[in-house]
Amino acid sequence: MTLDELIGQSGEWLKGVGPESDIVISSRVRLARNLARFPFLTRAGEAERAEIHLAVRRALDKLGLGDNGHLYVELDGTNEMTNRFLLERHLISRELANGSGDRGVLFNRSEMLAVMVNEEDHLRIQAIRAGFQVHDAYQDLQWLDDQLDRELEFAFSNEFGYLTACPTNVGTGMRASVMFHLPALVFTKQIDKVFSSVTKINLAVRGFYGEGTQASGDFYQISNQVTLGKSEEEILDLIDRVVPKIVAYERAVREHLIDKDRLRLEDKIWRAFGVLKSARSISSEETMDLLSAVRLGVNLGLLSDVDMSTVNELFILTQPAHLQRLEKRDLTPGERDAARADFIRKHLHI
Amino acid sequence: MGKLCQVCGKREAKIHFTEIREGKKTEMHICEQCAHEKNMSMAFPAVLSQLVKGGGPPAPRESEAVPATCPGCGLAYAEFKAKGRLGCPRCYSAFGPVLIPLLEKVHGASAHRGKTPERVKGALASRRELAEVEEQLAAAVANEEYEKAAQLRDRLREMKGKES
Repeated sequence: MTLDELIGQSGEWLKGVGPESDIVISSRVRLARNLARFPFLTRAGEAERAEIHLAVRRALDKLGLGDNGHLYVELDGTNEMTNRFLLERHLISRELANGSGDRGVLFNRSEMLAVMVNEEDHLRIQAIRAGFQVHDAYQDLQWLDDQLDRELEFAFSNEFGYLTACPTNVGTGMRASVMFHLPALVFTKQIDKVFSSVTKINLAVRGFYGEGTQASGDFYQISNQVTLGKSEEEILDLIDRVVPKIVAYERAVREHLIDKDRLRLEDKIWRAFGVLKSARSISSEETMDLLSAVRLGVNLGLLSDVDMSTVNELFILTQPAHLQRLEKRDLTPGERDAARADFIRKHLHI
Repeated sequence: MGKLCQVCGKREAKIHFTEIREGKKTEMHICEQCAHEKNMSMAFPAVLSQLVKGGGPPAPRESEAVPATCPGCGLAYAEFKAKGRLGCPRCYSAFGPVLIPLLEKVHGASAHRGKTPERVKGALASRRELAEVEEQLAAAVANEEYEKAAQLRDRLREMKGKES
C-alpha cells in the first residue's frame, strides 16, 4: 500500500453510509497511551524520542491492523505537503503535522484505524466509523488497544488510570467525537442554541479539523471533555444520548424549511450546484460552503443528480494538499483555485 | 550547582517550596542556614516555619507543600503550571496533592473508574490472593494448626517465587 493509492479516493468513513448518515458524518474514538518506562514527550530527549518511536513501531509491525494492507508514514523528513495531505484526510492531527522530531502514523487501507506515534502522547490510537456508531468505533479500538497492551507496557496507575502528558486526558485517555453536518441549524441561526446546551453538559464543540479550527461547510464535532471518573461506557452513553437530540433538531428545522421556506431553500441549493458545476476558479472556503448546500439538497431529495459519497468525498479531495498531490506539483493559490474548479466540474459532470 | 538561596544569594538553595493557596502559587528556594536564621516568617508564615522548626500541627490540605520538582523527570512544578503538560508518569504521584484539586476541577472527579490493562489486572489479582493466603497462615498459626500452617507457608513461598 502506498500514499499515491489514496489520492483519488477517500476513507471508508466518508462513503455516506451508516446510521443517521444524512446528518452524522462519522463517529470517532481515540485513546491516549504512553509507555511506562519513558518520560512524556515534553521531557524526552531526541534519543528517547527515537527509542519510543522504535518500540511502538516494533509492536505495530508485529500486530498489523487486521486489514488488507496498511501503511506507516514517518513524518520526520517528509515534506510539508505529505503532512498536510494526511491532515486533510483526518488521519493525523495538526499537532502531529506541525510537530518536529521522530514521529509517524500507521493506518489501514480503509482508514478506519490509525495510530499516531509521538504526538502529544506516545500513542494516539483512533478508530472511525461512518455515521452514528460510537460504540462500534470503540469496539474496533478496544481490539487494537488490547493487542498493543500485550506488546507494550502502558503508563497506568490504579488511582488515576492511563497517565497522559496533559491532565485533561488522564483516566480513560478517551475522546469520543461525532461529526455532524448541520446546515439547516446554521441557515436558521439556531446553531448557538445547540452549542450552549451541549457545553452545559460538559461536551466540547469543534470545527471540521478538530481543536481550534473554524467550522466550515457547516460541520461540527462534538466530543466529551471528561476523561476521568467515568468508565468508557459511561462516556459513550453520554454521547449516545446527546446525538439523537441534535439529529432530531436538525431534521425538524429541515422539515420546517421545506414547509415554510421552500423557495428560499431550493434557490440556495440550486445556485450552489450551479456555481460548482460552472466555476472556473473557486476558493476552498467557497467550495465548502456551496458543497454544504448541495449536500443538504441531496439529503432532502431536492437534488438527485449527484450521490452522497461524491459530495462527501469532494469536501476532502478539493483541499489544497489533495489537489497538489493529484497534479503532482506545487501550485500557487491561483492555480489551486483553477485546479479545484476543474476537479469539481469533472466530478459533478452529468 | 543548583539555584542560589533567595535570602543570602550566596549559598546553594537546599529547600525548595511551592505553595498553592486559593489557586495562587508561590515558590521559594532557600539554603538551610537562612531557613533557620530567618525562620522564614515573612514568606511562608505557617507552613515553612513549622517545617523548619519541625513542630506544630500539620498544614491544612489546601496549602500542602509539594516538591518543587518531580523526582522522576526533574520537571519543575512551575513549568507544569506554565505549560500545562506533565513530564513523566511519576509526576502524577509527585504532584498529587496539587494535581487532585485540579483534576476535580477539570473532570469533576479524581479517581479512575474505567478500563484496567490486563497486565495490571493480573498483578492486582495475584496480590489479593497473596494477602488472603497470608491471612490464612496467620490464622493457622494463631490456632496452632501447624500442619496447615506449613502447607500455607509452602504455598506462599511458591507464589512469591512466581511473582519475582
